[in-house]
Amino acid sequence: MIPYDEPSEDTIELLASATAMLAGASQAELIITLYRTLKVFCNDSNAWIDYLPIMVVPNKLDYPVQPITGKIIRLQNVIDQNNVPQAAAMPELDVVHLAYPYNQVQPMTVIVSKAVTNPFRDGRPFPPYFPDHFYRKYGTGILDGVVGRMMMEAGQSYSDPQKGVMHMGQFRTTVALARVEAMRMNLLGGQSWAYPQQFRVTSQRGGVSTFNMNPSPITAR
Amino acid sequence: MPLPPANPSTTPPVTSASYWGNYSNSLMPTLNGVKDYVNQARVLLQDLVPEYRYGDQELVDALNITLLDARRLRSDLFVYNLKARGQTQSFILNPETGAPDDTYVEIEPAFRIALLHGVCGHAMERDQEDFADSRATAFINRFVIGLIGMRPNPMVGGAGPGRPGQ
Repeated sequence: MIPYDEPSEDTIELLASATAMLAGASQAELIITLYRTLKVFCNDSNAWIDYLPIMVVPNKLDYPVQPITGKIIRLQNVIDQNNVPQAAAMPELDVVHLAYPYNQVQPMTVIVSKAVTNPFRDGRPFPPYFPDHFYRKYGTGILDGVVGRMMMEAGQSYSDPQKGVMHMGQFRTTVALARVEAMRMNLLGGQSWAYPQQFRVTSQRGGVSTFNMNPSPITAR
Repeated sequence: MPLPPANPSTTPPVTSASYWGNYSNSLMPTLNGVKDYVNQARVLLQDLVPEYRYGDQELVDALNITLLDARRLRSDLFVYNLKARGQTQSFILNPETGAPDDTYVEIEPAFRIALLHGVCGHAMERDQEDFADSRATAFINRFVIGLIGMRPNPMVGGAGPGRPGQ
């Protein structure tokens, strides 16, 4: 977990707004609900991506990887130093399994989806680390997710199932938007449909590919 | 028996209370320790002159019972406290002084007033007079409304000696 002293201004703003919208809600419940909402956001959108370098050596297929912030939930891709995808999987989280052995030592980059972790500090709920740029782009939608989830709880002063459904709908729209924008790497006007991945090629014949937008492994720069 | 930990937040503020630390948790001085609840309950119960009608032990018991009820109604105020493993606090009188002390009552500031009303309501429930029943009901109402925003059923006063039942 990355050490950070205080939650960002965006996080504080979001929690303050949620507090104002939910009369009688406890801060503990709000923070835990924010944590759950961010987990759903990350899990369903694959928007929080990390690029983890590994050094591939001969006769070894499994490589443990660990991001500094958040936790891995899914493997997106493994690319070599020429940005060419390599066959790999992650049957066990945090361990990349390459499909084939390699003959020479070479750097590769593991691209993973991540989710938030560590919603406690000193035994008390504390907003988990989440990059600011997500709040910048999707803060309103994440607020909808927090408020909607809280309103869907039964028997509380802030319970309001009807409004809760409305807020959750807006949150789902935000998740869908984040998912698409992550796929298009935030490129405005990028292709609006996902090309069937089993037919993908690495050349640029027939169109402009965003394939090489992936950064090279650090050691190859 | 070892003494409960002293509450550091009861240290007198150096400056104005308005500038005294983080008010979101134990540094909020209003209704902070057991003693604060007992003292404020006596104000609301109009029981400020010794010998007290509601003794220290009774009011501390009322606080303990109110906390249990608060746990039932709003478990989120308790279960996320990993240090206490989500348990409900329980208090005793200070063994040395025999009086309530400054032990911190761990509850978010926004819900302290509800807890205070719960203490008063529980203390008054033992009284049999009709006016006490209605006051107890009012206190319990404010306790429950303060926690979940809904009003419970009123406590109905019993018939006094020589009076017909209602």
